[in-house]
Order: sequence, then C-alpha cells, then structure tokens
Amino acid sequence: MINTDIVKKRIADTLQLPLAKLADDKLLTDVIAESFAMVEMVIDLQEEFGVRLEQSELKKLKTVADLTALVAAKTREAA
Amino acid sequence: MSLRGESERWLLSFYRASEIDGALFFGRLCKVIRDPRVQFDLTRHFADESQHTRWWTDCMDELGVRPMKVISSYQDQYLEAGGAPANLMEVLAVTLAFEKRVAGSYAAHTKVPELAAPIRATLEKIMKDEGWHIHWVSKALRELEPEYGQQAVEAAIQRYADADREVYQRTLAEHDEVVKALAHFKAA
Repeated sequence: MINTDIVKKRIADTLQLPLAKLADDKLLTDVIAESFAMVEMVIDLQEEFGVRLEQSELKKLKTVADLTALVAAKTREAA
Repeated sequence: MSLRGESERWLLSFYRASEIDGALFFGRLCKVIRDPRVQFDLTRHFADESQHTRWWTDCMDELGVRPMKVISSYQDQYLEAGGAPANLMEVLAVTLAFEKRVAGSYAAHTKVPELAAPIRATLEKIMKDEGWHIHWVSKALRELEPEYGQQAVEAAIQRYADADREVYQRTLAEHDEVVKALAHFKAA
C-alpha cells in the first residue's frame, strides 16, 4: 500500500533532498524553487506510482502534505 | 567572416543559452520518463540540444568571440504563462510550442543577407534537427490521444500556443528586433 511517507521518500530521492527538509507543512514553492525541478518531480511521481496528475489538481497544491496526500490517494484509486 | 557587432554576439550567446536550458530540461525528463513511447526520441532530443550548444560555441570560436552571459528566463515564462506541465502529454505540448518558435526564429535569421558562413552553416545544421523535433513531438502527441482524449490534447496544444504568443510579445520579440537590425548593419 502506497502511503504518504513512501511518496515523500520518492520526492526526496528525486530532488536529492534530506527527508527533514520535506516537513508536511512546508510550502512546495519553498522546497522546489526551480520550475524544471518541479516538472521532473511531478513526472517522476506519475511514472513511479502509475498515476496521472492534472494541472487543475496541481494548481490547488500548496504544501508537501497536499502533494503526498494527492499522489497516495490517486495510487489507491488506481489499485 | 566577421561578427556584426555586439548585438550579433548577444544573439549567438542567447541561442547558446537557450540550447543549454533545453538540454537541462530534457536531461531532467530523460532521467525520470520510462514510457517506451517517448523515451527513445526524448533522449535523442536531449542529445541534440547539448550538441547545438556545442555547435554555437564552436561557431563563436570560429568567429573569434566568446559567449557572453545571457540570463534566459523565457522557458520559465512559458511554464508560468501556460502553467507547469502536469503530465507527459502536457510536457510534449509545451515542447511543441517552444520548438515551433525556435524553428521560426532560426529560419528568420537565415534570411539576413551576407550572413557569416559559420553562422549560416550552424543555423542550417540545427534547423534540420528542429524539423525532426517538431515531427516526433507531434507524432507522440497524436499517439497519446487515445489515453488522454483528443480534446484534452488539442486544448493543451492551444494553451501552450497561446502562452507562446504571450511570452513572445513580452520577451522574445527582442530576438526579432536584433535579427532585423542585423539585416541593415553597416560596419563602422
């Protein structure tokens, strides 16, 4: 079962960031300042977990917790 | 075989910086995209962008000038204007808009009279690749239609085409102004 911790670990690996920097309440724009890195991470999550994200969904995300919850929920739906 | 002033040096440096940005963008994507429908062509595209950077560097060297530092933020502006691509289909849609703009800019530059031979040769070499870039991305988008829906694909292409026009008016028009000025350049 894919949970938010697994998603967070994947984000940390892709962005080569320590997990400590990915606190749930951290703003995504603070964690990933560079737009190319954001695209890389979003595409990687979809490739890794076999889900698809939409721009309308991404626009609503503010924090790390918002993103990990969305991907984990989509993974459960796809299962 | 000479450069027409600092504006032409800026232009070639701008091309070089843009190719570097393209290589960095596609390099990041190549690391994570495993979809076999695009992995092969995307990797070749990434290699092309790196090669173009080398060709512009070689061209400037042949002309006896060094690249200047150019802060190129217009890829970021594409993502801001059209929204960051959220999935593979949207990555291809933004790439298509961008590649069409690049091909048009290079084609306009080839029309400048009495272009230095190394510049013309570099533009012509790169334009062959740009034609292939537009071809493979268009084909991949068509192949993704059954999965994403034809309407969604067409909407994404349109959204990034609109973003391209917006960014062009704000930023890239500077390129065209320099190219136009080169056509009337007279050495002092």
